[in-house]
Amino acid sequence: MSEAILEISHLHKTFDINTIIEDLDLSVHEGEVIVILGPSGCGKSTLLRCINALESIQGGQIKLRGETVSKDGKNLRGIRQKIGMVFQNYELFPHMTVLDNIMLAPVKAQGRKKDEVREEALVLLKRVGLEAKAESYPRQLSGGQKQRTAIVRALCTHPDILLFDEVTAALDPEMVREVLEVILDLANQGKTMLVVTHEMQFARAVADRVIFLDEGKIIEEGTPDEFFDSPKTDRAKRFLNTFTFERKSSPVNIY
Amino acid sequence: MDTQFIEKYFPLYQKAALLTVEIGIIGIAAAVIIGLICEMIIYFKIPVLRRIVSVYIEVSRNTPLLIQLFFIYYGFPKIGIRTDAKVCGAIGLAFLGGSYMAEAFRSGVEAIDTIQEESAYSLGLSRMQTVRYVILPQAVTVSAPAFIANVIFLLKETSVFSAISLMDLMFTAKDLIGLYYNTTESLVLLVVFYLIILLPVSVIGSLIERRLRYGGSGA
Amino acid sequence: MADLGLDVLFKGRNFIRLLEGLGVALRISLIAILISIVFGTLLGILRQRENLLLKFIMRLYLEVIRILPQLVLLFIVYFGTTRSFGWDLSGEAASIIVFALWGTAEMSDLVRGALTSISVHQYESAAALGLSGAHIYLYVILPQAVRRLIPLLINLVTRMIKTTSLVLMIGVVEILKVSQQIIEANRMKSPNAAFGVYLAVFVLYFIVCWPISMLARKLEKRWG
Repeated sequence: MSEAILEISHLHKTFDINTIIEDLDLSVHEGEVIVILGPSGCGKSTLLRCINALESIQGGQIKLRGETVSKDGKNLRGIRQKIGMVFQNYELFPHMTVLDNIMLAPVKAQGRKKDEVREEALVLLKRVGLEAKAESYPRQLSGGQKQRTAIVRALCTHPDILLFDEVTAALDPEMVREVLEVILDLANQGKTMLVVTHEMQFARAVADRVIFLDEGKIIEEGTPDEFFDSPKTDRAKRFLNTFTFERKSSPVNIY
Repeated sequence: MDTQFIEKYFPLYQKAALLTVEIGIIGIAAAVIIGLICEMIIYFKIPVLRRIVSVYIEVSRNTPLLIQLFFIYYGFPKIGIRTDAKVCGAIGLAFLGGSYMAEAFRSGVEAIDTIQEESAYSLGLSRMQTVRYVILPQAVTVSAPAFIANVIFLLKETSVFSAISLMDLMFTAKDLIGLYYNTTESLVLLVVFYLIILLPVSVIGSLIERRLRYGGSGA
Repeated sequence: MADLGLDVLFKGRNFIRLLEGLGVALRISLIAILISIVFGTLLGILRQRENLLLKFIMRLYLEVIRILPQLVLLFIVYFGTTRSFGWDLSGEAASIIVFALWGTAEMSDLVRGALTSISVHQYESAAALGLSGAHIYLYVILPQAVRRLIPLLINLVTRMIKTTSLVLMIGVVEILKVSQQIIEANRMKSPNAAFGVYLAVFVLYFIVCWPISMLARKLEKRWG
């Protein structure tokens, strides 16, 4: 396997007295797609936020290509440009057009030429089917269109790794697919990604490796087939069970 | 109604109104600058200055302009700080308005979700760039109605300037009432001139508010 | 240290007189605010009605009162009406009329705002549970509206207190007038009295208004 891009060792994260992540190790290799699963509150979103230094950490280390990621580290902005993040509620800037949203960071933070960035942005927009929306404002877009824009915005700084934080959780069901297809397409292009999601079918399709997180620790880790077909731990089994339904043969009237 | 009286004293009111507008504009402009500085100090959590700003805001908001003016105009000369009445009026208005403007800007900034900031940071923007391109443009839109309301409030507050012997509209009206007993005419002129000053601002304010409400810049 | 003229404050009944002067301003505020609460609440509820004429009249009243400086309103009532109607109105009575008119307008707007801020779904879900109209108001709408209203009402009280400093300008003997008298009486012995006395007035107003503002903010935080 190729070299590790992202290396997390002994990561420790607490909020006041609550431990959110406890002694977590993880390495992500070039081109790898890792899906992080787990019950709500297990620390998966916090993990992504730590990787992007949106949260301070209380112990351990996060390294991107050998460079330490830390909230008060030196080259924080440079490192953040190498990490693309997509949020649950899109977080497009409402006062800017789609194109301005995408061009902001490459032009202002990376100092790249406007024309060149615009050209790239338009190519990427076309790829996600939004070339006609370049001059629209976020409020004129559907949820799915907003999220596709946010993905393009994250891509345009040429990140080494992409973080997806429950990006379909706020979407209407009929828009989930258009967003997941974009992510699948990126996976096929060999992009390195960490994906937090509740879409199990999608997780299975996109992941090279599945990580199951509970109470801030990695409980189980494996290929999608291993994890979904024969989970080793009870906790993982129970978690997967919450996604299947059966009608009880003899219904009990709770009233 | 004595139209001759109105004709005769119209220019006097005109002069007084210009004085009100002049001091008003200077005072409000200074208030905006003070407000912006205060809000930046609060936003960037600058130590010490932050404390001073919050004390200033409390003092300024919890005392009447009239008292502030009396203190500055009649009290300060006793400790060697003498100001011309016009300057004093502008200083008083700026002192009062600075805190109101700071609050308007603060509510604008606070209305923006922290995750907007975070998404700017996650793109690699610096703190200054985030303020400049992401926070401020949104905050300005959000605080526009409060801003206009403050401008109207401060323009109305200028009516106390006559207390420090500035020959403003109130001074003129009171003077004419005392001298000639043409109370009705003097008051009509007073109201008309205040409406000339205040109505346009008020109309602009409701236009902006309507645009914000229906145009919306919601995400 | 230069003479700050503070000694004047402690001479004879000077400080007590200042407090009495402040009392006059506070009395005017209190009466005006009580009237405003009663009529403002009534008008605020009436403004919910879908009567166009009623709405228009209320709106006109609100806009006229709001666009003019309170001092102009004071002049109109004090100088204007006494002249036109030939009655003899004391400065204090004129002040109460003006501040009650102004407070009622502001209060009605606060009440209307508090009532409309409660989402239609609250009415609907209460109705869906089978509550009667009166019960919906009593148990669901009013408790929420009152919580929104009270901090704003308290703010209105501080605005009212600050605004009553204006009554000096129509000759009511209140704290600033008393100050002028004290300064005038001591002009020979304490030439710097103006600093000390006006500082005291400044501080007194702050001591009255600040706790009220803090209370409003605290409630706003707790109920917001």
